[in-house]
Amino acid sequence: MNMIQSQQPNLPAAALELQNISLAFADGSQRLPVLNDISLTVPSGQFVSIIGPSGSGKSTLFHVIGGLLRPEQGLVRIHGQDVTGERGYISYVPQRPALFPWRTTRDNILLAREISGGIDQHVRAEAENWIAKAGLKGFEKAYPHMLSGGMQQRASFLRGLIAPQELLCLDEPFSSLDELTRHEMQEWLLELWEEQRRSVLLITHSIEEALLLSDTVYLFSNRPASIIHKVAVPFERPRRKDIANDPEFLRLKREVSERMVEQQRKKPI
Amino acid sequence: MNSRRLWNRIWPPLAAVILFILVWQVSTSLFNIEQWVLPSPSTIADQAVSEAAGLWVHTFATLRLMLLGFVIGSVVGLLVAFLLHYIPFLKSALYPLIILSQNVPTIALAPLLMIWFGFGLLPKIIVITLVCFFPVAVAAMDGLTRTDRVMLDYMRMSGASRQAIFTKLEVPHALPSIFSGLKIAATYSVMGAIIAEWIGADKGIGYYMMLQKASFRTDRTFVAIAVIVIVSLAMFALVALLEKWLIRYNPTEDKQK
Repeated sequence: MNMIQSQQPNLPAAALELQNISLAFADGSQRLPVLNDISLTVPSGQFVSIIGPSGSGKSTLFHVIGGLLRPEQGLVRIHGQDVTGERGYISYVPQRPALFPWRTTRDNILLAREISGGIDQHVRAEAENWIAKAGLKGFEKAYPHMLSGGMQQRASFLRGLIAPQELLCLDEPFSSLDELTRHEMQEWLLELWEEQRRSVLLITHSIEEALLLSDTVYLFSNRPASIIHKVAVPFERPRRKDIANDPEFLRLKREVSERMVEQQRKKPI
Repeated sequence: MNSRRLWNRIWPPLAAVILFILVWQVSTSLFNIEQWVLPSPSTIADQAVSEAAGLWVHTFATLRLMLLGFVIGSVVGLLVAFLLHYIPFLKSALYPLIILSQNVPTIALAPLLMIWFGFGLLPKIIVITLVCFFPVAVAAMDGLTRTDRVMLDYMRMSGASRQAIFTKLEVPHALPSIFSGLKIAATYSVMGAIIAEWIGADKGIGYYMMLQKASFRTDRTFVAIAVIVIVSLAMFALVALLEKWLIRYNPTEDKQK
């Protein structure tokens, strides 16, 4: 645990602050740069997304935030505290549900608290409450293989939501779902988040998804990833369900899309 | 519904065994095969009934030895796997040695163990441990190294301690693999016990076999073989039952991409 506290304790600290993160992998004798001077901020209670071409090192960035990888340069601050290379400060929802197949739905959700925080009556009640809200009532004792893909992902979300860490990191959580389920899940998450207002960092490759859910969207370049653009999403909360048809939404979507296409073209083959 | 499915799985091998015994019975009388060369199944069954009281004492001795050896061997196997999994240097240093140890035939090692440790329980337990630990250790190590990456990343990012990762993820994830090792070890343990008893014992099925062989009682040797087969099957079933009880989820599911 790092004992040095935030330099400015009087300012409300951002949930997550990345300062000039750079990282390269060693590939034999070659250096393979992956992250190039990434700086971004997730203000407390905001929903921030990262969009980037596939293979741009977005997941690597999560590994840095989660403390699995130590950046060569830069700092990771969570709620003002320097946690670079330290684990256990984020609540992580992985790309595929990754529920433990030997645990029931309920025990999978409670796992987050078993790891950190501890389980008491309140946590159990909270879990039951979430299970009901997520439409998983009646499936508490079911094993993951008995659940549909969408239900598994929802259980994985609940595992992230019930974790004591405030900052929620979502790594393309809808990418393994079919189109219909994805829409349903996005709406579910939007509604849930607008009620909760946790600090969220979402990685996605869907422009529409990012614009629909986020307050701020960062665009990543090809590998080595750097930030090429930052979009402040102007739509008010709670967001309308038909926001995706709004002319302003479509304009933003096209703008982001053009920038991404430009990136794809520059991609070295 | 379920019992019907069970029956559907059981009847083909059962029919094959019954047919085999029938052919055996008929051919022994048809071709006038001498009883001391190949006794008929009915003679063997007769012998089994008349020998029952004594056989039970021998079987019980073997069962005790085998179960003790199996438990010790499996525990040793698991401990070796856990230790080598956590100390990669040890794994690279000792893994070849462990494989080498399996190339030494048990039947050659057993007399040496008798010379070193006498005729008590210890050398017999060592023999069984040697045959049992290997499949368990290899299967467990294999299972531990194949822990799901995403689940592991989840645990680590959530700040799980090494111990929590081990008990909550790695071991449960490796359980199906460990059990396939345990099933092999279970059948090996019977063989280990028999070999140990051949070398030096005053009771047990292995000892009984040696006794009958010495007096050319082929029929009784077959009785001993039948007992061994039954004990092996029972051992396997016991471990399979334990597996079913411990692994209630569908383990094929985590092999999804």
